[in-house]
Parts: sequence; C-alpha cells; structure tokens
Amino acid sequence: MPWTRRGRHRYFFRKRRVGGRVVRRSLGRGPEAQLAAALAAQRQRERELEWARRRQDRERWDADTAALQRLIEVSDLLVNAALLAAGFHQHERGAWRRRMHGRSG
Amino acid sequence: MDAQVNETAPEQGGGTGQDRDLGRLAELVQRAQQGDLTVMPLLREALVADPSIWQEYGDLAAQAQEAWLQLLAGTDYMLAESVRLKLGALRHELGAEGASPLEKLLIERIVACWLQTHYADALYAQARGPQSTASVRQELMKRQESSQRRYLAAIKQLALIRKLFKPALSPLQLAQARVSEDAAAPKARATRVTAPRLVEVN
Repeated sequence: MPWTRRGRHRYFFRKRRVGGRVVRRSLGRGPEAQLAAALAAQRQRERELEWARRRQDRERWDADTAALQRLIEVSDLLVNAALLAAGFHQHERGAWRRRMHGRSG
Repeated sequence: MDAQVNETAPEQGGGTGQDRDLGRLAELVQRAQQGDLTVMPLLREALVADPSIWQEYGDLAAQAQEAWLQLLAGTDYMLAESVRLKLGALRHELGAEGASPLEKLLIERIVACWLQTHYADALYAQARGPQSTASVRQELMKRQESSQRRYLAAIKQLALIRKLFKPALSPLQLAQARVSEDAAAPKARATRVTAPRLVEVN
C-alpha cells in the first residue's frame, strides 16, 4: 500500500529499487503526494488492462488452437487408418512400410 | 481372435455420433497397430461405409479456418476476402480438385495451419512499443514455432499419403511411356523449380 498511516495522518510512499535494494521515499501528504498517488493508480489501471487484454488474446489463441488440434488428431487418425487398411504398417513409430505378403488381413 | 469391437464412446458423458465413430476407428487403428490383423476388414469398412463422415470432417476444417480468418482479418472485410482468394489458390496449388476425400481433408488441414502460421507471424511482426516486453515477444515466438511445426507436419502427412498411395508404374507402363528428347531437359528443370516441396517424407 503506497499510503501509510503515521500517527494522525496518512503519507504517500514511493518504492524504488536502488542497487538491488528496495528503498521507500516519502512524498508527504500534500498535493505532490496526491498527484503521485493518482499517477500510480492510473499506471496500475493501465497495467491491469494490458494484462486482461493479453489474457483474452491468449484464451482466444488457445480456443482456436484447440479446434485446429482436433482437426489434426482426426486427420492423423484417418491417415493411419487408411494406411493400415491399404496394407501398410508403421515401423517402430517411424516410416510406413508395406506389409509382407501373406500377413495382411 | 474375435474381431468384435466395443461400441463405447471415447468421451465421458456420451459424445456425438462423430465422437463415437472416431472412438471406434481409434480402437480399430490401435488394435491393427498392435498387430491384430483380424480388424482389417472392419477398418476398411469403417472408412468406406459412410461417405458423409468426410463431409463432417470437412466441416470441422472449415470451422477451424473461419476462426483463424476472423482472428487474422478482424473486421477488415477486404483483407478477409483477399485471404480467402489466397486460400483458394493454395488449395488449387495443392491439387484439391480431383483429390481423394482423405487428401482433401489433409489439404484443408494445411490451409488451416497456414492461416495460423500467418497470424502468428503477423502478431510477432506487430509486437512493438513499450508494451511489447521480452516476455510478450517470447510468448509470440513460441506461438510462431508451434504453428510452424503444425504446418510442416500437415504438409508431411499429405506428402506421405501421396507417396504411398501413388500406384507404381509397371515395367510395361515404363517401357511404353513416351519420352520426348527435345523437351525433356527444360521441362524437368521447370518442374523442379515450381513443384511444391512435398517429397521429403519418412
């Protein structure tokens, strides 16, 4: 929380990282503190909007990828079925080879 | 071994007819891959018995393509229309006319993957400005890579089917084939340049 109560009043503190350490600097409780607080709140709102936009974008991508993935799975299954039905077999999950004579079903 | 196959749906809670068909087909494929050759007649029957299944799978491809087209073009109808024309050209280039139902499905898969790849490329290219942090760019790059993989895998499947299902020429056909000595060399060069890269499979 950037506003901290000290005695009877609340003061605005800004955190900064200086040389790997977090340093808190008080901006008091006057107009400068009010302005800094308003700017910090606006930046936070912008960040949240950006996160929401990115999350929405990622969800849309995932949903459309899921539809495409289903098409991929279905077509892979049909390819395998067609090759097996035509007398091929997959050698150790690699190349497809024609089944030896006399072994086809 | 008994070739009876359970008619259970692959998903919990009762799936659609398409899900049930796919579940049954997946089971047959699994058994055939494990060496159970008694399922072969059922497998062949499942592929040719109901031609409408190919229409359903074609609809699945169309839905996937439409979703990616909407993402790519948004409300820019001019762009959407020009992309549709490009997709038509791509289908033609891949020989969709006169292709078997399986080949057509694979061509539609390539088209859908092409759309995804181009959308991922466009996103990455547009990622500029202060909001484009390293983590954002990394995520977009991951999307590019995964869509590229899907696209190449789709092309590979079509090439595999075309390679293995292409009837081999008999010695008689080879002997009877005409070879024009005049046009042979330039024609071969032209074919090498324009042919799609669909030959490197397996």
